[in-house]
Amino acid sequence: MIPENDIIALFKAPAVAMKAERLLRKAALDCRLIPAPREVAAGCSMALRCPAAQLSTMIRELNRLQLTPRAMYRKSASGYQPVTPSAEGEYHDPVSG
Amino acid sequence: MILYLDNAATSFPKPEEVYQAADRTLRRYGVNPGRGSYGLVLEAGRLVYRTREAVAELFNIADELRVVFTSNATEAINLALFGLLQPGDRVVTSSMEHNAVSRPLHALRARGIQVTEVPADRFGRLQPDDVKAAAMAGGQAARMVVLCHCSNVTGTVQPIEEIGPWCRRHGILFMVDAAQSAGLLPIDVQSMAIDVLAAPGHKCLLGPPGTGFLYLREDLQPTPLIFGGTGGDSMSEEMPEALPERLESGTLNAPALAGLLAGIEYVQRIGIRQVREHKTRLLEALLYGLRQLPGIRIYGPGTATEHGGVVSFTMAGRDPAETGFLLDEQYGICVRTGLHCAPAAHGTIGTLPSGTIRVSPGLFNTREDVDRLLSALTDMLGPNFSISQQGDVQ
Ligand SMILES: Cc1ncc(COP(=O)(O)O)c(C=O)c1O
Repeated sequence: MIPENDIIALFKAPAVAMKAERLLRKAALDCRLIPAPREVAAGCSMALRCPAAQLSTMIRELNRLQLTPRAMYRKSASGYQPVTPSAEGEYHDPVSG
Repeated sequence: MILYLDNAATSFPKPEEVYQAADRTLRRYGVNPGRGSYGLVLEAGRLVYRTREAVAELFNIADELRVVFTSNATEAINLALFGLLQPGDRVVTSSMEHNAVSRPLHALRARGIQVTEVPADRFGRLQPDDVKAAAMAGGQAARMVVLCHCSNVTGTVQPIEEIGPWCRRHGILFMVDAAQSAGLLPIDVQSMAIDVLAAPGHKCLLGPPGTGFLYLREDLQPTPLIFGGTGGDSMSEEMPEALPERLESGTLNAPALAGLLAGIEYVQRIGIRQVREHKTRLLEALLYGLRQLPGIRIYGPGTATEHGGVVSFTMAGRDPAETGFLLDEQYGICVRTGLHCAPAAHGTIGTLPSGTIRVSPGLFNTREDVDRLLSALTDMLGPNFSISQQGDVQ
């Protein structure tokens, strides 16, 4: 079970998710790869999970590394809420602009 | 004791660490990296990823996701040539290529790709000006120049550091077959302006057979050779756009890639320069010794520092195949004879159709090994030696 408030990020390919995990761990983030929950991804994708407290560091590092996620979500009691640029300021979703 | 001197075919033996890494991976993480996301799969995936990073670091590749694993250099070369060249394109190559390059190019001719072969001199050397002239023939830049960095027949090293930047300035793709040089000569894809680099993992990088890779510059997007599952985005009928997945469908050989990682780390620890110096010393002793023997003809530059890892020679009046057979049968020495999958190179140096005897020492060979080969050859040339007496030779 993914704890409430945890963040999950989806990337355009599994190897990119792998790269993101490796580099974020090097930056001392407590993140790990998990199977993407079916609510946010069809098929057999991987997602990178991070504790809520590290969200802003995660976004900053991913931007710095130019590893922009395809999408990001926050787990809530009612499901996965998209993390939007307006809510977090720095995260730019390449799909929705 | 068998003496193996055919490291240009594949390096053997491997460092102990390589055996251990492959064995450990097969036992502990013998799962399918990239298929599923449970812990063991992720561990195997991370190992593959670290191998990608190690390859990227060794060749100064900025983004390890541009490194695609293949099962050997041949597959990497095919992937690039068939995936990037379109009918109407012109490609320039040399007369020193391995069949891994010349056969795909021959097949591509039938698909409307024009191939120009630049001849090398009898030492196997290419003149950069000849390559440049061929690439600009008719006033129009070719699409690609593809060259073997170091010949597997003569060991001749081509001046890719001059040709690459020139190609970049003229908007020509520069592809290098580093089968004999990756892990032996310094290769920097940035300073040498290499757009496409194909290499085996199982030769000078000391990895197990079944490993190789292709590096592709940022904006190159070849059509895949093989279509299939990539572990992600399964609903799509199309292959994914992103590298490496686009070009890596099917199960990866994680145990061998773990071995390759250990091999690269070993080479890094020793240092490419030291590896080269060791081989140069062995080739120096070999060349010196060969020159003391009657009727020996050496091919290629003839100076150890100008040979990559191999020396080719012939013995007057003897078929290389017969010499190779006797070295194996009577003296337990493994060398490669014949054409070494590179008939054009043998055409260039004048050794068609029977080829040469090729000696390629490895990292673990010693001066004593070279002496053992030289005394076997001396013995074979001795006054009492003839083929019919081969049973008498110990
Ligand atoms: C110059 C050259 N290119 C390509 C290859 C093919 O390498 P692989 O056996 O890894 O496919 C070789 C191997 O002998 C080679 O010497």
